[in-house]
Amino acid sequence: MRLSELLEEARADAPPSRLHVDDLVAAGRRRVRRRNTGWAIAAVVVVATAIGVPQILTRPAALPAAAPTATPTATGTVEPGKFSFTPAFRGYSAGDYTVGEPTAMSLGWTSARIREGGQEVGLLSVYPPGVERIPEDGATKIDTEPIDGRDAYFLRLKTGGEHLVWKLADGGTGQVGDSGTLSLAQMRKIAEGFAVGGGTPLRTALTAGYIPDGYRLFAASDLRARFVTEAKIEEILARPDREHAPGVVRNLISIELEPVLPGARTESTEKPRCTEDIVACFVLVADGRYSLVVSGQGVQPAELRKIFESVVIADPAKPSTWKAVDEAYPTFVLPELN
Amino acid sequence: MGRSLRLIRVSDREAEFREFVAARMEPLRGLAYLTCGDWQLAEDAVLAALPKLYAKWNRIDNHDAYARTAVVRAAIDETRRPWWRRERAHSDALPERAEPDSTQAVHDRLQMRSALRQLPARQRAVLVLRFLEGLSVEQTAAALGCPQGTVKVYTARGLATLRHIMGADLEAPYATL
Repeated sequence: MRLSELLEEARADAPPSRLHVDDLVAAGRRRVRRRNTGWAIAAVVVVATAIGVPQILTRPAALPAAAPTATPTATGTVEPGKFSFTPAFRGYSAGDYTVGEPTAMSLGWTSARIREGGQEVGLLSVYPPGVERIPEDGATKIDTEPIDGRDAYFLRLKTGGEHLVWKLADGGTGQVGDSGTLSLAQMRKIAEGFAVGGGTPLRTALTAGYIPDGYRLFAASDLRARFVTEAKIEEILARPDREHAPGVVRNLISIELEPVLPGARTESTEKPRCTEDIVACFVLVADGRYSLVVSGQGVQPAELRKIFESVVIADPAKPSTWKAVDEAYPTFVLPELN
Repeated sequence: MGRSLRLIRVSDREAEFREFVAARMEPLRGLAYLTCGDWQLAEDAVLAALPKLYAKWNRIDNHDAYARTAVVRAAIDETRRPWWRRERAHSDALPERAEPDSTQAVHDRLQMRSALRQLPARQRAVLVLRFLEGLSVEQTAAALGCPQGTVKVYTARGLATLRHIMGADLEAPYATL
């Protein structure tokens, strides 16, 4: 068969687009306006936020064992030598901007959303001491005055938009990034308000009582967890950026709550179901507002089903009911650092 | 007078841009999807790229070529974002969902998508630009901002991987390396 035909076929069956001509025209107008008024950033996130997030495939509903039943837990202590999903900073305010509590963390970075008047306008990423940022291809470096006495620079991205990168007091690296609406001065203001310290354990609406032996937690957020093998973790920890090496991750487990937007298609139904051809389990939870998706690569379908059945969901809309990530899964999943 | 002329030009630009987007958004979204492997990131790429085209509309001769280049580059960059988008991109390397269907077309679609996921984003972009969009080595190199030699190497490696996964009878008629 011809490659061109196969490629054409591969892009067929697209889910309905969230984008409309009007969205693109509006984004184009904003870009022109910003350019004309000396602003320098592309209008991406604002529109993306307005349009909404998920767009997986369709249908509605409730969990088998999984229901909104998790109870809040106090901060636990993590065994010495193990990685703790506890960020090195807390949320803060900087003028009109609020940096929320960190919501996502991996072995190599922590991130928190930046908001202005309830609208998400950017993202703060923090890289621990000794971990290198992942460089952006073709970005142009622009010098700026030090922040808090430490080196700082802007990166102008090929795709439009900018990042502000600066050195932190603990030797780590901070980044205010690519929002679509922030000016360079506003990014600096947000960076200047940052302080290392005071972090509390990352929390999540997900817990799972069963994870197969040999898997470790690589990244977690409020609505998601990803596990890779112990060997893969060692490989990641040995890399300067603490990320996956390019290429396919052969063994992977993902547990995720996807928000279901009105009218959006979802693969989940009220009745839990698992497929074996493509290893994944689905169910609608939280009154159909979220889809729980547990999926895997290199994992036996029976194992995946067992994980799925062990998942317990807290109310995604009530962070006070969430659990510390360090305590949300079997303790052996926390990676060994030595 | 000057203001009126400017308004007419803006209005023309907008009308032409709308017409262009209405006709080309879906193919561009598909192009981005094949490059980054995720429909949501593909839309982000389109959203990052096309407003630039709008802003430069009157200064660009070949709107289609500009849009294609901008979208593919944005799609490659979408796979590199370090925060949760990157996270999402990784996990979306997971097998994709499809309605139960036993037709050959669906089988081919899933197999091809799966095969493409085995390739790095830039190799995917090279194959898509060359064999779906029909660009030459020179045009592909210009679109991706890399040497022609790199395009040739990526083409050879990408095809070898796809043939290995899809079977040796995969035809790539423009593959003159």
